[in-house]
Amino acid sequence: MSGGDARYFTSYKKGEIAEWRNEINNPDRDKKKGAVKKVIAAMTVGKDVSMLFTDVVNCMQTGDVEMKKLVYLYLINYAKNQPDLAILAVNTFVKKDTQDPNPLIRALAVRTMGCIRVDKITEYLCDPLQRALDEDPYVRKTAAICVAKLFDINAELVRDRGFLHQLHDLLADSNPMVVANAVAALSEVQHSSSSGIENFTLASDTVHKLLAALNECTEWGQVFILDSISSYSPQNERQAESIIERVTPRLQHANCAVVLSAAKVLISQLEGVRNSDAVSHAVRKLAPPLVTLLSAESEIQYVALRNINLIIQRYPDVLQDEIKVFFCKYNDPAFVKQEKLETMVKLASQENIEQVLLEFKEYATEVDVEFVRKSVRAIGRCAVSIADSAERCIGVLLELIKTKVNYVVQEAIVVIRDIFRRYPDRYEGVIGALCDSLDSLDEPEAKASMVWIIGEYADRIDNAEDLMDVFLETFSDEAVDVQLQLLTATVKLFLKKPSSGPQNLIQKVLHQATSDTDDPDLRDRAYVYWRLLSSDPEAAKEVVLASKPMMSNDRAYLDLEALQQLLRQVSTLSSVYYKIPSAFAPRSTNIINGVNLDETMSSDLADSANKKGAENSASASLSPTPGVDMLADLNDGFEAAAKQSASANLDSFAAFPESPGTFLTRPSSSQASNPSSGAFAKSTLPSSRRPVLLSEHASSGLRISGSIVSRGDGMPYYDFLISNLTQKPLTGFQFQFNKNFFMLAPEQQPDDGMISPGESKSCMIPLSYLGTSAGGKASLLLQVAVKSPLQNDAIFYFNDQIPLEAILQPAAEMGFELFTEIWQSIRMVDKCTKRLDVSWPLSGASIEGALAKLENNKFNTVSLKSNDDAHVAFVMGKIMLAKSEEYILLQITFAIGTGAIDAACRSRVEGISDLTLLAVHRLMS
Amino acid sequence: MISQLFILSPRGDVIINKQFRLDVPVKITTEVFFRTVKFWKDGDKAPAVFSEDGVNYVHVKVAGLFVAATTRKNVSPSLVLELLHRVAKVIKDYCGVLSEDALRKNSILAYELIDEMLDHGYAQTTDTETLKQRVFNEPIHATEDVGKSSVGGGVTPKKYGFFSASVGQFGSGGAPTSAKRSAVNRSVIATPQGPDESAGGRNEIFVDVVEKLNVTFASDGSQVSSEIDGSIQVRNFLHDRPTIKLALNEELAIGGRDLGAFGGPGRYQGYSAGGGMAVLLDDCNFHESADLSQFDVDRTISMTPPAGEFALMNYRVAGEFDPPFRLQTVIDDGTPYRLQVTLMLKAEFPVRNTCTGLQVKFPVPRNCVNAHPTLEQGSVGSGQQHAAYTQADRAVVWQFKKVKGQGEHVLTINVSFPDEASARASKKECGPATLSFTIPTYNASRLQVRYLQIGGGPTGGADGIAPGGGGKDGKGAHRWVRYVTKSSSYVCRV
Repeated sequence: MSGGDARYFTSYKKGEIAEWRNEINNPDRDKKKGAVKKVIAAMTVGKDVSMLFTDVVNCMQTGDVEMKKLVYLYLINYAKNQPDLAILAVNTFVKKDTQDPNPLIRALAVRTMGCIRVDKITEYLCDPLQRALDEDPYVRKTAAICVAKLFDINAELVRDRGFLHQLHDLLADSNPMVVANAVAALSEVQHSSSSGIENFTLASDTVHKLLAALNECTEWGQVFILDSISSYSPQNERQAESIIERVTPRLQHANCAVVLSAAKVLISQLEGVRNSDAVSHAVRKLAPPLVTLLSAESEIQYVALRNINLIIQRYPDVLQDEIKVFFCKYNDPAFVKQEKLETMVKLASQENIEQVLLEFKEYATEVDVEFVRKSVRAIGRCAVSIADSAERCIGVLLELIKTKVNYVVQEAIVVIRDIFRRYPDRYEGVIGALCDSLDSLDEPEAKASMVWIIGEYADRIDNAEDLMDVFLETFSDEAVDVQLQLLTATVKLFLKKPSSGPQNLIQKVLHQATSDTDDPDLRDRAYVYWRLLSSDPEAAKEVVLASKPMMSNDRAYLDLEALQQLLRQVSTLSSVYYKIPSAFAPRSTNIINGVNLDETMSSDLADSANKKGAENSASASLSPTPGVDMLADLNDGFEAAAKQSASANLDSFAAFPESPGTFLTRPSSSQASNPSSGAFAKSTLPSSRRPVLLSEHASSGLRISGSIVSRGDGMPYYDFLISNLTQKPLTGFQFQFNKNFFMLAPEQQPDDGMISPGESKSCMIPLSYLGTSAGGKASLLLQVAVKSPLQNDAIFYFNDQIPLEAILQPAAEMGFELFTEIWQSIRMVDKCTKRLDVSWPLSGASIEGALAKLENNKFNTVSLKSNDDAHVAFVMGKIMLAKSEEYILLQITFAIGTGAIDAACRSRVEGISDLTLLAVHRLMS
Repeated sequence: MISQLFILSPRGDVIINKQFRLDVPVKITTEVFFRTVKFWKDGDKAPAVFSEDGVNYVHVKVAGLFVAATTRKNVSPSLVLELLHRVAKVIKDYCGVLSEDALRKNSILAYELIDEMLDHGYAQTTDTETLKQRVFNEPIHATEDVGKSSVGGGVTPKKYGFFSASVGQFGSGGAPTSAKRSAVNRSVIATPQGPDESAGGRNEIFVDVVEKLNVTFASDGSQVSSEIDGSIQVRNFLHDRPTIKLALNEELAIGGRDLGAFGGPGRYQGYSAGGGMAVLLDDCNFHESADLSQFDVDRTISMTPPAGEFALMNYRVAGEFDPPFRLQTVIDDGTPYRLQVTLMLKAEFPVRNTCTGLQVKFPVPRNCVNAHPTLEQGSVGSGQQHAAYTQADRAVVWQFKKVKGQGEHVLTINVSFPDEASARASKKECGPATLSFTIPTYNASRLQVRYLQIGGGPTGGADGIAPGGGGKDGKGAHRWVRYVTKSSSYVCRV
């Protein structure tokens, strides 16, 4: 091949296809191969060579592996667009290649057939796949992945053929590569399974096998295994400790992915360890490898730092002595520097603050303006969170102000405002120095901060009146933020120094703010002040000069629940974005035809280049659909809602606006004013006990949480908590359900009670079974639309899962004979068995407890039979479906000896068994 | 797992685009990716991981090429990043160099390699040795100038192979010269079996102990932070896959594990019972094929090294160590309109070593009119030193061809200002000075390869190999053990 592949890329003329066809059909082997290479070279640069399909595929009948690989490469590329042609090739590779004596060829065939996503041929794949699952290890590991591929194409087929059980068996395989791929395939099946029945929960003996395979695996296999172990909940503290002990050596691996995945296992297993010595021992082991990650490429450093910033919120001590390694290097890329800054702020303490401040001061003289600003902010954040260091921090900030570098000064003033808020009446001595730099302020935020400071300390600044006068001269040219601050500060000045000068000022500013502005916020606020001042100046004082809520320490900006959720995601994209997975990686991805997706995306392409991060796209699509006829909009809306859930963004800052009254004097708090670092900012997760169904961000301020419950009479209710986070009262909500399997529909709409801003009200909506059936397989999905008349008739959409127990009917007694009769009836078509893992040990009492729990949720025990080593419970439930009653029958075997619970379920309703077993598992554990 | 892997040229042309799953629009994503990276806000470098329209992009830049993956799943980004680096490395191992030209010439080979390395987006085998048995296409040599296109070229040195760029600087260390340069850039596949030593076929192994220094000095000369990122890089062209045994200093302590014996962490306080200087590493990790069963006993590592280039061991020293250079700055503001800056440089490393290509960069205040550097007496015209002020950078750059160990040098810079007041006010805007350098045959941590044994035999025994030296064992295999210390971030504040 002297000329290289390059010659295959020479110009492409019409005659070439014919020429290549000739060459491919040439009996000379080298010529043939050369021609196929030319064809593939043309294909890889995007040229259409599909017309040669038959010719190329014919070359597959050869013993030459290189040739075969080339043909397979071609085949994969065109099979998805030319399914009919692909079927022609099936004969060769399914019938012959999967039985070739050479394992390389067998594996190649298995790998390739999984990539040919043509429904018609998947049936043919099953037998060869079955064979491949117990052959040579190289073939076996390829087959394991192929099961995942097949599941993606046709999940039903995979279930029917029992491939998942075979995958489970492979977990105990002698070849670690096979084990690793089986783990990867099972995790994928679990994640993509829409019904959630493929619950790949590890049994404790499996964990031991995986740990044993860990040492023999390739580095990638180790990551798969570690990731799956990290979701395992240990049976007891001893087991957690032993897992930690087995995994700790992995922290020494040269591959950063292995290190981070091992760290993830450690962190998750540590939740189960209460012995504080053991915890601190394990945490100590964690520190050096985490620091070593910072020696890797800057891309990996970035990922490591994002993770470290999570971990140190939970284990602040782990890197306490290592702060020096987070000092920025002059040649670090910007994204690394910013993360290091964050780490330094988090690790700063009374002991190291001197050192840290010296660093920040140094950074504040660098050339990268954005980085300089962040460094100045960092000084303020340290001051706010470490009380004893505030004075030192102010000192450094004053030094920086003296440099007179414009953006440094402005940033420093913003930061000092935060410090004043955090420590009122302690540092007003520096105000004089601040006033020297008034002229250089040209950014709204810095100006607003300065005005706030003047207003707040108006009684202690002798020339406050003159200063305000100067600011007010340009009132109409200022940004709204500055105008709002000017208004409030003037009112404060007047209330603190009620003399004639301020009185003139206040009249001037009130006049300007009410008559010369288009901004409703400014106007409304001015009117409020005006009325307050004219009706009751004392009340005005109480409102405007009220003591402000304490500013929170923003170093630990994630609440505990959110942090715990994210820590479970260490070493995933989630931990880099600081978003829970459902916010950016939906659990079940729709397999969309690649071509269509290409088209829809290209129309968005023009503006997508301007967007940074997911926020913009999310917020754009989240605007409510103003609907005239609600039902007409329903379907469109659900599609939109489905799209939103893919890109929905959990970002939020302060959870609630303060109650009216305090908002008047509230300067934008430091959290709200912090520019989000990078595209992905803070995320706060809902903390209310009822799950949040509709987030206020998706609905301009309406938050709905709730769930479906049963009140005992067999009729379900929707138990809502509706929170109004808008600025106006809301009422008159109307709920509608989309077609759903159980035909649920709201029987009433909520009453007309008014919900005022900031208030939450709960309401119970009775549901009926009179809705429209969605048909198909049983599904618990419920899509809800809510219309809010006072928000411009906006309609919002959310999805919920119906808890199965909420829609069970109270059942009459059933005899054991009847149970067995129905159980064996041929009409019980829907069957499912599953092993249920529970954390409690099996005993007579605990089993009775579990059954009582089921009974409370209307799963009645028909009979309980026991022998020496097992209890078998026969349980039934009843659902209402299209006005007829359907039985769900369960047989639950509690094996006392092994601690295993096996449940089998039968019903006439397709798909209900899976859902029942999930519900029973949830209720019992 | 990942849905797509693609490689783009620096201009955004698609060179390789491999689809694993149908959940991303593979034709669009390459363009979205390139635009997003190109126009990242404020001209900053885009972070390695970002999301656009619900698609997650993970990328690395190797030799100017973008190697990127897309996914819709919540994958482990570190795994994807490592994998992308590895893909680039394997392709480089195969093609000899990684460049746009080489990739285009070898695109079918690259696809075949990627097919073996990933299945359905899951990483499978990235070990060159195993891949050799399954990959059939043969590499085609790129004709491009190797010096320019090698991985190590360009501004951002990368872990895998930045060494190749500096190979040429080893002349003084008695290490391979230009003949080796091409040897280093050759394909692992080209290694013929047998003792034939014609071009590209030498039976040899390179072991490079590379240390990158991160040091920040405060204005008083004390070390604000100091750290060594070390790595033992191996490039293996040995025939017949022998096992090797590599011995490190016996007096080697690894933080956390045997802290007790050597006192506090991160310092060379420990003098062992034998009286030798102990080397203390804060942390280290090893290549997956390293057999460490003897490591805790006698600090030896055995392994059957994979062909091509890999990091046998990475280590980190966070404590203070003797820095190779100290720079003292004196700023005299006694004269109006003027600041006189004196830089005093002292090479602290042993006299037998020579530093190549030292560059000191000293930023001067933004509002200065001019800055005029004056070299020390006797050095002007010798061609050994050079200093110049560049208006655009607002910095004086002081360059050396060579600096001998223990050498001392002085540079005086006269900075002039438009008015008297600004001269004084701007004093604080001077500096900090950054140094960049390479010192062959020297390593700051004192970590040593005591011996390197090839095969099971007793050859290459305990007499060891001199730093920077090479040797030949009984079977005709060449061994090269070299040391080099480089600056990563070496900053002296004023």
